[in-house]
Amino acid sequence: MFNIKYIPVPYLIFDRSLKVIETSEDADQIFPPSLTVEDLIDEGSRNKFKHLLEGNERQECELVLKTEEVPMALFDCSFQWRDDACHMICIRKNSDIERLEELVKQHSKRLANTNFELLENKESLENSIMKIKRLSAPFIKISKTTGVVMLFGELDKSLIEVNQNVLSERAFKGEYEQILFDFNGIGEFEEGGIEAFCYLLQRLQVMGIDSSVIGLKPNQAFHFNRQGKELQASFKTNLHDVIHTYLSS
Amino acid sequence: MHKMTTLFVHALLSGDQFEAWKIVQMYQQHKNSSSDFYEDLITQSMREIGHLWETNQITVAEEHLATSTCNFILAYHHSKRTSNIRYMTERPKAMFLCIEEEQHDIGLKLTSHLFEQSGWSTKLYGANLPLDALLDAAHEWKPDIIGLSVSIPYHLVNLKKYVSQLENIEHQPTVLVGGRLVEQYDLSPHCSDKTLLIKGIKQLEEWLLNNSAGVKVNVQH
Repeated sequence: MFNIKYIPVPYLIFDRSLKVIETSEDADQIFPPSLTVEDLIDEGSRNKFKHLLEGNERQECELVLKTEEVPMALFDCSFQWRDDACHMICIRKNSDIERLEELVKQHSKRLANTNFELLENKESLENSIMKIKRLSAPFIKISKTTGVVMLFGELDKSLIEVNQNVLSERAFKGEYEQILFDFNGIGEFEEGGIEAFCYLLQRLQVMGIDSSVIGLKPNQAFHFNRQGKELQASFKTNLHDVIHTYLSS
Repeated sequence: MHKMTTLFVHALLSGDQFEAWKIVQMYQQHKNSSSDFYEDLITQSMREIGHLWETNQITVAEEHLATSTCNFILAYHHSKRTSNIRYMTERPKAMFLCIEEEQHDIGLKLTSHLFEQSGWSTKLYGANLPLDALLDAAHEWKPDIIGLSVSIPYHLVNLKKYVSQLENIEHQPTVLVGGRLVEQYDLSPHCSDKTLLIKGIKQLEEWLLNNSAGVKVNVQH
């Protein structure tokens, strides 16, 4: 048989009863003298090893092994059966794991000093912002068939998203024919806000409800125009005129 | 495995702290007690991660990442649970550590957090504290309880030495031993008849209920 003694890696050959038949010099130096390969394997890795041994194909895995120096060390192991002999190479996972362990320790230490109040404040701030958004689109009934939605703050995606279900439901249940969206209280337009608003208008239109936009400022109208949106809505100058028209009709 | 645990394991292995915290919040909508959270989500997930290594599906490096992410979640959860606690009386003291060379300290952290949430004052020494340093610290601080964690059979040889020396300290603290091995084996031969062996989080919770009576805690939400 080919002599494995001088192969420059820890190399072992063992039989079906796990008895060690041959070892390389590297293996002799690293591992304590053992009758069976099982003696070299840490208890926590034995089930894994035995399970993988059941297959005849080549296996690669991490195992914790006993060495001359330490009782537990992590190795990358490859092994394969050839007839009734299993050939196994074990390469120590040194520096990578130690570096990781060091990093994990540093994380743990840093965690102990983390000011979690900051994170908590961020969370409560986000909750407050959502509450403000929910209160920034009140629905007001002005006639049996018409309602006004007063929009306040920045027109962004979340302003529409947190309110659209409530508004649609209210418009549908109240059997409204027209909803007026008042933009007088709107300041800046944020990205995604116009798309979300258009989607809401489409949704209302599908429900048979017409929409009107009131009080668009010149720079806001420019935004609508620039984004090339064909709004499913009519535009009116101010709420006063609209209400006056309704009352006099 | 519970669906939420599967999602949590995935978030831990991805190192995604925020996703993991979202899952914790979802879990807490159903169950709000710390002991349930530690048992159902943390313990089950860390067991599953161990199982994934044993079945060759992840590496030790990925396990380390998951542990680190889990540590963040535990610290954040604990900080939320204790930020509004006002302690009304002098608090009993408990000190926690893993025995020498023991690196698995998540269970120890849970235990220390549960004590603190029940109104105890705690010191967590974490992994790898030599016995001499521990004896000095215990003499100095005089804890009522000293909690030890042991999860690797190889480390059992040290347990007896730790227990006997700690129980012989002048003010006679009670030694509490927990960890995976307590659930799997009878560790009484490694301890004394005074040692408390705690088999899991539920048993710990019960012990705390019965032994924290003098601790008045005022939680303001």
